[in-house]
Amino acid sequence: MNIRFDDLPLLRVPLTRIDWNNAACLLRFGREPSQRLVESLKRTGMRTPPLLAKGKSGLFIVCGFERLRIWRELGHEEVAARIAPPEAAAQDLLSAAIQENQDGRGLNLIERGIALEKWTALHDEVKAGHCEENGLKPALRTKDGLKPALRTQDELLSLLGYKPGPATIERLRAFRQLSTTAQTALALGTLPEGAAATLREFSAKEQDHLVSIMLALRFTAGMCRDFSREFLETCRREKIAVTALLRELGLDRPLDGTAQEIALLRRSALEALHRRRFPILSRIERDFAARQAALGLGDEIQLRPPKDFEGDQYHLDIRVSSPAQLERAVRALAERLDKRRDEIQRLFDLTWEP
Amino acid sequence: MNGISNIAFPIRKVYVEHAVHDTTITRNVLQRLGGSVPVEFVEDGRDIIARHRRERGAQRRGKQNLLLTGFRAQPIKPCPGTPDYLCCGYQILNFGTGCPLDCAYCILQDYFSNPFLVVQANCEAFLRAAADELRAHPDRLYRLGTGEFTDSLALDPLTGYAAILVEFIRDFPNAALELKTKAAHVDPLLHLDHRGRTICAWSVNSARIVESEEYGVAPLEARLEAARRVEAAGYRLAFHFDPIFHYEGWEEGYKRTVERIFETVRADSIAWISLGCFRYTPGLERVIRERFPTNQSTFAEFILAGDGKMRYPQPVRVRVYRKMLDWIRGAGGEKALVYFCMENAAVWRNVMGYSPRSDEELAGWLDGACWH
Repeated sequence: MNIRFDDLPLLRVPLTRIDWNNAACLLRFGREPSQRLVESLKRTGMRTPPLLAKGKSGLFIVCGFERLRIWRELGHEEVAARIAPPEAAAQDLLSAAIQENQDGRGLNLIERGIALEKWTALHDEVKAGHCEENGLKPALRTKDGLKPALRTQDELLSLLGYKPGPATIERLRAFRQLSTTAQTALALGTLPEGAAATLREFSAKEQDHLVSIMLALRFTAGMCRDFSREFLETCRREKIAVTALLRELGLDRPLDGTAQEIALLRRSALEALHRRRFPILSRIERDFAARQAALGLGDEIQLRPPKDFEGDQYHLDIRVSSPAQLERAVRALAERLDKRRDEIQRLFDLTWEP
Repeated sequence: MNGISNIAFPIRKVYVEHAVHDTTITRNVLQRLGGSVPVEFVEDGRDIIARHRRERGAQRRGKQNLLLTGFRAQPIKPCPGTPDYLCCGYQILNFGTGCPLDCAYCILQDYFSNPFLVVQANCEAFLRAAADELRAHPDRLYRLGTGEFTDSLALDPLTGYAAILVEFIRDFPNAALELKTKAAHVDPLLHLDHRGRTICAWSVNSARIVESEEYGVAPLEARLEAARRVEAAGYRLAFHFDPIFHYEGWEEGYKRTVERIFETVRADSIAWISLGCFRYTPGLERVIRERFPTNQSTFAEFILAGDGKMRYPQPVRVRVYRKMLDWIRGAGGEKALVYFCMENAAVWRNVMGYSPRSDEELAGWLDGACWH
């Protein structure tokens, strides 16, 4: 059903008539109170009217939870709002809430997961023929009687801007199974989606612990992804407990200090985990670095092996700031090629023996 | 019905397109199943594939539902290969997709997301189209195989396709057929006049991997015994060590398999041996996690290679291949043509001391083994 809520008349509603505990259409998760919204409401008043609907215990909020909360805190006693008509079905109201959020600040991944949960619950209840919880109407009242206003998950996915398909549904559901700390970090964008998918494999307590470590060490999104994945793979492969691995990595203590100390700790933990997860590759990297250092070419001349030692494309970096330096570097290279060819050749032998 | 009992899951339902209800393959399947499973006739198999695409559990159910369709696709397709890695130029004789065997590492689990084993049941039309292509390019050599998107022999006890293909290919001087399998059901091949145009190939592995990763397949010794029997029937052989897993104690297992091959068949019967280390796509990893939760094969050291697949680090692969090559040479395969499946030029040079300059050059070497 397409109800144009925007066309409804504005009514003055006393705030006491609102059932503030009814969260049937509440999607908000992991958001800080918005100071900008407070300032805007103070300055210009309620420019976007909230949408309310009639429930069992008074009116409940469909759109505008945060606006109304601030409005009440600012000392107002009534608000100009729209009230959904009685024939509006539950999924239509939820749809309006989703749409308004999407058009405004956008829904984060957890809020999308919440929308999916609520949508699916309503769908299932409508399908089963009972849906009176929170006063939401299960069905569309038509002249022929009650007709279920059944809307599919695919409709929700398009509302959220996704292509229909079970994979997205699985993904959103999985995020909702994370610990609260992990969900909050995901909602705030401090934890990337890729890392969240991996964290699911840990217990809620372990998730909390790992997320707090990643936040304390100020990991970038890429670091979060790599760290959580390598951590999980190491635990599984080595059958090592999370706490034991954290102890090995030096992450079993309070992680605070100056920015410099945190940076050092971050680096050493990531390197230790990399060595643990990739013992062979780490050894090859160390061997290569040692062979190169033995040539004594200095920091200005760096032969870089193929990425992850895959393929045979090497890169030669020469850092110079004058023609004289360039000449010296070229001469040094030529001299090594001439006199220490075997050692140079060994840099190109990407082999490994246990 | 020997052989079909080996497959991982029994066929539970057969779907038959109306258009192929009376073809040789359909008759074979229905007669050999003997009314033991329900049969549903459908107008167009593509519709039910579309309806069930990406369903949960598709990989498992895809081993139980057999769909017999009319011939629509290209009869011969080049192997898709992978960028930056050398491909042997194998051409796929596309007689079916999906595999009833159940190997945990199988990449088809990621490639095919529908719950059907699909067989082109109109083999007359299929082979007519293949013949047209082979005749249209008489100067081109076609090294054909049926083991890319399915196992060449796993469904043969039901379909009887292999014998039809062997007798088809023998009349084309510019074509050779490689039947690649993990099955041991070779009886129908033994008395055919194959004229040397078919190579029977087995995918082999260490005994530990056969036991822990390959479900519903013929045991290693049964595969080797099957190889011995087709060798006695005059077929040339090939062996594919692909995927090779690098685990603790891998050397012992793979060395033993190499030795068993050369103890069982004559070295000069072997047309080629391919080597390829385990690699996987992120999609395959998800399937393995879901279907085989205790499987550890993806927990080893892998790097993300340029083709988007996870591979063992190159120095590890080089070491594995060098050892494999030593064992093959030492066991009697001094002259055996050994090649790498989907490896880069650096690996070739590090192991063999040379590298094909292109896919075409590598294809030429293998063609040489077919038309020697």
